Amino acid sequence: MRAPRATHRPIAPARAVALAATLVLAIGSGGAGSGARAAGPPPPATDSLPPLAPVEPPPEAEEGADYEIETAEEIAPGEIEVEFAAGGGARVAPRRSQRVRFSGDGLSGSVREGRGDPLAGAALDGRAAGGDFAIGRLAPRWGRGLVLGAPADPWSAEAGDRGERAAFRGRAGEGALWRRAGPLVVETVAGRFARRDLAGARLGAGGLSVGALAARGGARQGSLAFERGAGSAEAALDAGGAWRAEAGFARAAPGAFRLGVHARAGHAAFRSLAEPRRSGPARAATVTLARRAAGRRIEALASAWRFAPGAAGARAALELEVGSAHHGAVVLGLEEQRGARRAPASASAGRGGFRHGAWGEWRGGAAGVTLALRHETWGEGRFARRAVRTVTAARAEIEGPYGIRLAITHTAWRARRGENLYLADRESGRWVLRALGGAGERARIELGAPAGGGALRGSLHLSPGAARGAVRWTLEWTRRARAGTPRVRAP
Amino acid sequence: MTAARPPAGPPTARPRDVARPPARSAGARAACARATTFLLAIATCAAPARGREFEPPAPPCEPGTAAALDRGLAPAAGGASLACLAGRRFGLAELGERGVAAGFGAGALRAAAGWARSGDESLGWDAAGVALGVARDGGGAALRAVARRERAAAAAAGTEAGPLGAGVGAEAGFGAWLAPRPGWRAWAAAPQVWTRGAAPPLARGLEIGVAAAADGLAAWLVRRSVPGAAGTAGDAGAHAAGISLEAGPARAWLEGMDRPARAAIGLAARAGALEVAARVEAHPVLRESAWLALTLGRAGPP
Repeated sequence: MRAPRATHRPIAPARAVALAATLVLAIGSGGAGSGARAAGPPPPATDSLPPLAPVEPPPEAEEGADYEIETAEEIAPGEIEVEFAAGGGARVAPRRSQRVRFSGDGLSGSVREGRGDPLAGAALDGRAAGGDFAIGRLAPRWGRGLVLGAPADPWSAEAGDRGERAAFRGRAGEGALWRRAGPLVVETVAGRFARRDLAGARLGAGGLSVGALAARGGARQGSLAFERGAGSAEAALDAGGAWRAEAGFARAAPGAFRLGVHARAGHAAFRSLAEPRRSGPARAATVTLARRAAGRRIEALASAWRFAPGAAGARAALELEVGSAHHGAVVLGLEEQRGARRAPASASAGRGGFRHGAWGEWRGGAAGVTLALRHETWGEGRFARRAVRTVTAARAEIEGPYGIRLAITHTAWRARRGENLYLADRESGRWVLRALGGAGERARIELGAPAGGGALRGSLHLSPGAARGAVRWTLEWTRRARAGTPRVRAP
Repeated sequence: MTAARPPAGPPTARPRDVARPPARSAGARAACARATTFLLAIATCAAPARGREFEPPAPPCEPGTAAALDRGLAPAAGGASLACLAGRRFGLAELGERGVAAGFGAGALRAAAGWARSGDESLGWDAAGVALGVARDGGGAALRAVARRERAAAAAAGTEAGPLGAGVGAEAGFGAWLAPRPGWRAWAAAPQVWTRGAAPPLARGLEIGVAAAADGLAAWLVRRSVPGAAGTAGDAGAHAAGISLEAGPARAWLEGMDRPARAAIGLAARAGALEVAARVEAHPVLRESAWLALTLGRAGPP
């Protein structure tokens, strides 16, 4: 695949603004009639065990290396949490880390310390000057993320690790942010993003917002965004005239379905100053259809995108879930992929070409035992023939006396050379996406129990058939306590 | 109980004697001749022997005392039970096997222990297994471990000793099953999550399965991953499917398996606390293998 060409025909700023305004108006009218709520779906419970299914790392992840991401678990106001964690293995350097989190009246924060810990650092959130501030690791999101807070995948409208409602705390940059909500929204940000010193500001009122981001050296980007109901749009322009515009909405559809549509257009040369690896495709269109009823869930997705001429991709997926966790739920899915899923310059571009995938998962629980089984296969032929990747996984969880919980997860996989495979593990306040390849098996045994007024959790990681160095262990102890009675603040 | 069940296993797993030739001793020539015969038999069918000493002659979806030792599928019913297992692979006397498994359950706790002897003096090994877990009507889970000692390697002088001793190996794993509603059952077993010392006779991967039953008729599907087959193109998993029919105290079942394609038939009958079960498996190249179990104790599968 060819890299996107830098040559492009700059668009006149007046034309870009006119296009953005058209998009904004279009979305405004669409969102108004939908009557849908502005709030998105609630984030997943990050304290639960990670899914059995393979996960996709973000584009900034180094290919073939593990990737760690912090979960966005909240603690109640007035609570303080301390956590001590250690880990190691026969051929793995021991790692110790400590974390302190607190949530007080108007100030909350966390400090994580540990040699070699990629998540080490501090983050502070609080209220100041009539607004909210954040210092430390930042992952803000403006509008639909064209300038700040882009989703990781071309087909996604929401970013799971960007913005306030995200389930994970992303690592877009480090710096300081101040935001004031209300009729007039004011937001300023300054910090280091993607090895650049950046500063920006955004003003918003009535759902419309205008923002600008400038880097040391003169590079600039502007953002015009609009949000109303379940519809939103954003247009972004850089100093060179390259632009991107994206709009999307979600609304109720016949048959109790929920329809989501988003589309994007722009120059292939546009690169986000703050997150260049998440710039995504220059053109994309995605349609989602979902229905959730008692005991049934059906979701369909069709998406096509183009990073640059000759670097396009598409994806169509259908997933059906029937049943409940108590009586056993079955999930069946089919998917077809074509082309590239990542920008060609990205380290985790993955293989292009044609892929058919199919998966089935069953999970249920009874008598203190929970069992989940999953099998998925991907092939380069139709109906997943000529398999390039298969993953079979099982997880058993047992609830014992005195709050003891035992969970064993076993996964067997086979991936052809060049196929990426990431499986998620839960560790102290984070998910670790393990990069795997070839063929193998691994088992993770996790034991949790109350201890010392807190919770003790240990895990043993075994790779049957591999060298003894593949054995790893972790031990964590977490305790939460109330630091004092917080003053009740009027919303 | 299966010492070296034939070509039923995955294509990459190797029988114990292939991995480590028997040590030379006084009867080395005779042992070598038998080993050569066995190797030729294995090579002919292009798939390895299975090494599941405590595998019961029963459908794979049924928990039980021997199944707890074999795959960690603890029985739903408590009480005490005793099972005697015997088998012969490919009709070869050198590949005979015998063993005993005892189980006990109180409340939700389940425990089992067993001993088995597989093969003759030159090829065989002794195995001891234990399982500990919990089970109720709706589900169960257990950890299981098996230690093996090659008789020929242990008797021979100068044999290179592993970390657990000459010809001694151990493995441990787990299994769990769940019946979320009457007639349905799903299970998972990973018998070799941990191994140490002499390699087990068969590398066993993750097994998942689902079974449904109604009016005495049951059907099941099983998928087993094949460990250690890196670089193999395509999906190298092994699959099995079967049906069983229950009529009064008797049951009969039929299984079909791939890699290589083969079939097995089983019969079981119960009289009071005594159950007799037998299973015969055909092979496309070699002669049939047969297993027999005599169980005294708890009622049949839930």
